[in-house]
Amino acid sequence: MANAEISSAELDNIIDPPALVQGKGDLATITETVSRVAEHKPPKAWYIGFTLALGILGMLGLAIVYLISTGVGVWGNNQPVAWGWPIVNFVFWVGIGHAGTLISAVLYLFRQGWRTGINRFSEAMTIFAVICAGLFPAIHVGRIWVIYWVFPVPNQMAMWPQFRSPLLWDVFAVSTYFTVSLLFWYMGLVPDLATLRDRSKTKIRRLMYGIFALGWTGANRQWHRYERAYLLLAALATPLVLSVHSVVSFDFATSQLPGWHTTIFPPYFVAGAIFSGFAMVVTLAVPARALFGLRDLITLRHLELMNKVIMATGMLVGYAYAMEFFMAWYSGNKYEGFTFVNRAFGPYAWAYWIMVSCNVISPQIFWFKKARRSIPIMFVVSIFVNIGMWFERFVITVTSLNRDFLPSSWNYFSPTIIDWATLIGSFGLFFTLFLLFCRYLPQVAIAEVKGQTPHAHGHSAH
Amino acid sequence: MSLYQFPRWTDALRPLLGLTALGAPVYLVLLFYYGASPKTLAVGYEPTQPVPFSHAVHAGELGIDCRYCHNTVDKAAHAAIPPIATCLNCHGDGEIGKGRIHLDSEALEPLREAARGGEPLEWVRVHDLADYAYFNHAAHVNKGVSCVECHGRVDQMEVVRQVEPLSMGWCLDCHRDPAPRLRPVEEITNLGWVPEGGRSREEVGRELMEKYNVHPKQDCSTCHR
Amino acid sequence: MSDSKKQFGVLAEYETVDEILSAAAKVRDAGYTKWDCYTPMPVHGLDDAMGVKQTRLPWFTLCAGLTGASLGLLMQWWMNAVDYPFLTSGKPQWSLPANIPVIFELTILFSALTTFFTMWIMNNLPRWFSPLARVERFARATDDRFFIAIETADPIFNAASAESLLKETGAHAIEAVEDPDESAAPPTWFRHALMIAGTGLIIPLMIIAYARFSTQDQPRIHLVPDMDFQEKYKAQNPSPLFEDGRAARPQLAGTFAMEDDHLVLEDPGYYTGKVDGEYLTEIPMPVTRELLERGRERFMINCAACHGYDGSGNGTVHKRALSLQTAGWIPPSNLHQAYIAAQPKGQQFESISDGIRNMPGYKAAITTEDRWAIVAYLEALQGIEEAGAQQLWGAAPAVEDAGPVDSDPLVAKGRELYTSKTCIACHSLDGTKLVSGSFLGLAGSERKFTDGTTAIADEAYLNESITNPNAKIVEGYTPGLMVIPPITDEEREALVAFIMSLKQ
Repeated sequence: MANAEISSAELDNIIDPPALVQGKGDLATITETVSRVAEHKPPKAWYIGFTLALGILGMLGLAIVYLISTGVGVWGNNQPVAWGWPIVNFVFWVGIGHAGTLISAVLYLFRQGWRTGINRFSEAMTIFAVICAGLFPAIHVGRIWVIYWVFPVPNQMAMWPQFRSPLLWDVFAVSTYFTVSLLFWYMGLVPDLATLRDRSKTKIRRLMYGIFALGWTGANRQWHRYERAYLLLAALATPLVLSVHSVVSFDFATSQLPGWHTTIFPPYFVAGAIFSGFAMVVTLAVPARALFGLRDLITLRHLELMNKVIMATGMLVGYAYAMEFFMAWYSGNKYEGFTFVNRAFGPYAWAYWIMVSCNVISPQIFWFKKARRSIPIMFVVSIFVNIGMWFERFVITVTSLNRDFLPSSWNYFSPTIIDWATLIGSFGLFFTLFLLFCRYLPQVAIAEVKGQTPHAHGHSAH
Repeated sequence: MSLYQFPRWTDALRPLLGLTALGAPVYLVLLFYYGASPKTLAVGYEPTQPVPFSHAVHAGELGIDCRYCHNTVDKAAHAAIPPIATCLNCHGDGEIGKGRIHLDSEALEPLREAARGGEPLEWVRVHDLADYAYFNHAAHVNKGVSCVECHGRVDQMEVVRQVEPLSMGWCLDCHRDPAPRLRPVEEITNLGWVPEGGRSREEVGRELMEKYNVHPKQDCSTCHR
Repeated sequence: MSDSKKQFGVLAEYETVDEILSAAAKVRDAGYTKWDCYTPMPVHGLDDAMGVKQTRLPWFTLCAGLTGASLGLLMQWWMNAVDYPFLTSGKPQWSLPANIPVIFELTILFSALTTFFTMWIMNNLPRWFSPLARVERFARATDDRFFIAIETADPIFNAASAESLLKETGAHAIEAVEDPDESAAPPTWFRHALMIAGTGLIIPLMIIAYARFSTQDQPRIHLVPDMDFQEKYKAQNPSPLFEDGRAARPQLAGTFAMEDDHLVLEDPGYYTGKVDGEYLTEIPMPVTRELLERGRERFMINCAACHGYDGSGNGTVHKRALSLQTAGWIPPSNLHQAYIAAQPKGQQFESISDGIRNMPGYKAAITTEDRWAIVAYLEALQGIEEAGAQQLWGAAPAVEDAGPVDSDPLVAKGRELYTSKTCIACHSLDGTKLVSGSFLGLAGSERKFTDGTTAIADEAYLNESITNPNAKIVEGYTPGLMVIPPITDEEREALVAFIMSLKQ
């Protein structure tokens, strides 16, 4: 046991050049760097951003009130495009919500030490993205007050959910994912909240951080169970993160619609989710590290590694695009064939080619190390990927539906102003939550980063 | 030290926290389950009608058959509230109706007034299903489901009161197990009927299910059409 | 530290991981059990140095996972295949592949929740109060310092030896930790708040209990009205289209429904009981057992309340009317009377349809076929009378016999009209007082009226009484009771002649 740990620690040093924490890098500095953000007034940019986000969130609120009071007819959904932007936005946000747990759980199991710099950050992003995602299925039912019908709750109708429907699997997958992500995130936060509690100078801060720190003292007997629980949660979250987007893809794949009914969907969706999730982490990390002075903890090396993941998953997604076309031709199914020709050259060709250029072509620039380490380039590419991944869901949903088996029912989907307000508004919700997180909670996992420094490893034991 | 410290009594919060963590979901579920149940919200509705008609006297004491007044119940989905003409069969004044019982009654004045062309009597509906639920009285009454199964002992009610929740789950209870709620169609308006010879209703019901070919459905479209 | 204060333990501070690792091993070797190391991050090797045993937490996770999986499977099977099975898209009611995603999710969910909560419970957290937190230097335990605290609760604790042991381990600072002298009882405001909250929680339950066991004048509370009330017409709902709100419009005076018109013209016998002014003598349909059964059922529903279940005219409504001493109440006829039994079927049908005397018409309430069914049943009921069932029901009111044969044809016609125009229902020929006075001995007798005047019942009087029964009311009788069937002058003369012939 002891031998294995030593060799793995050595292996860490070989794989990971010790540049994950730059600057002075002692324990007190790490504490100070992260805690400072939550303890001081944020930069002006934060106030501007927060006001803006809050305004957009207000717009979302109005859009939802209008939607609920009027009915889902205010959306652009029509026949045959009965699934419009709501599901596009849902899948988009769930996809983004994949990076966090992937980084914190999967990379933890693979002992990728570099995850500590960005995991708190991306876990928070995950939770907020899943909240945004959950919003769409919730409001799309129109009568949101009976949304509890999707859960197996005993009721006066003696009704149970229909477990043979993938839409119900989705309910379980997304709510389980949200719950587990939240537990995982909060559990990671507790020792850091204790740090903030012990540093706080005012009663209210001490009380608030203190309550949520649960009285954590850092006792080793507690650390022991804590670490074990963290490992168990990571082990549980790993298959979970892979399952969530697989189940989301079942919403499409189990239907018998050309363009949806393919077995490639689960891995294709998971790859796309990781792709978009990492892109969103880069989009957020780049300004955040500059704004809050976290360059020493979220280093260029972190970003470069993420860019590699983006490029790899981008190519996976590109492979899936190609494979879909191949199968449409190879299967000899003329409906399948038509759907894909329609996709690339039909009325939504513009959307299709935006998707391809953003998702497949733009990340190719990361073959160059210079590009991988260039802040402006990675920021732009990450934005492209976000746009491209939104369009991927749009293309899958709308182009498969808009030309039905009956040409007489063909229809073009156009979003309404409420569609726009909900999509943009969901970004308002996301950024409001995210900026609050940046302001009041430790953005970097203090204790975990400390664990990655040389100070955390005893020498006599080796 | 001047800084705030959590006092010792916060230890007392620990059992409280555990209790809340376990109790709050239970409490909320119970609150919702019982509070929002139609048994709470619907049962016990006893509106005041424009004329103090007593089912206990008419259906109970006098033994007038339910169908004398609600004459569409075995022919149509809707069990009609009788027209005023039906009341006037007994409670007229010689001019607007032949019967003269309670000719001097003040309480019946609105009835006679309406018959003379005045304000129509607005009877208050007691048993009101949601508009998306389809219910056919004739289908039930002609297959041996008595009035009493849904409306209770109306023949003993001075003022009609809703006694059953009329919820979907309650409908399904019977659709899943109709036998104990069936009786011979001849006894359909005999609200106090009990099987002869000490047989159980279950037993009699089983035979009647065969006889009347009773196969209640549970599909959505049975009631939501 | 003074003796009056209670001690919690001894705290020692270290600066590096190496220091605390070696110190921990020494404290462990000294045999202490109630002690711990406090570090800002998990320190590898410290578990070994402290001799911390591997936690049993994973077993809880495993059990929870298995519970989640089996519950997931059971739940889906029970809900979709047992409790409420229904067919959708031709899918099997229960199939394992369709259930796997939810089983999987529940396995993870149960495991994760159990791991999370069990970990905190095993760690004895949350516990906000800590004597260590009162030590100023201890704040750095979550920053960059490492601590060991040996508690006084340890069975071998001795302040002096513990301090010297920690000194040996190379601690940078050693401090005795005081156990704060604070009350463990919550403050009064908190207890009051708790009581108020507790009471507040009971109030909704009491409201629910009250709502359950009381009656309300207010209709059902629709928490979620949704489509409970739709803008569609349902039977007997008011209509906003008309001022009085009546959706079913009353028939205009002097009109009758088109449908009836059409039908009556097509088959007048069936719909009116009459063809060219002549009553049908037979029921215009085959009299089957079904028809008779139907007739009996309809008789029990519509007729029995007044005419009695046996048709003897002794129904509950009649009894009620008598007990209420209803003025002007004409008793329902005993349907076993010979004159009714002798009526043509068409006439019986007409009486049911349009009513007669005090009886209202049932054309609107009973369908045409059912009215014929009642006529058919009536015959059977009357047949029972002949079969001697009279004993069963007790003596029926006296039935008129055919009476003497009249020599005068006018009187003979009057006698016939006496039955067919249903005078017989209220006026007997044997001196018995039915609803009204008997015709026997009426002619030539002195009538005393309510206005105090008197008159001799001569032909003029009789003629006037038949034409306008309310002109003079005999003492002891109620005005407005007598109903005159359509009658010609000739028929009236015949009736008067007949009554005159009964002079005594």
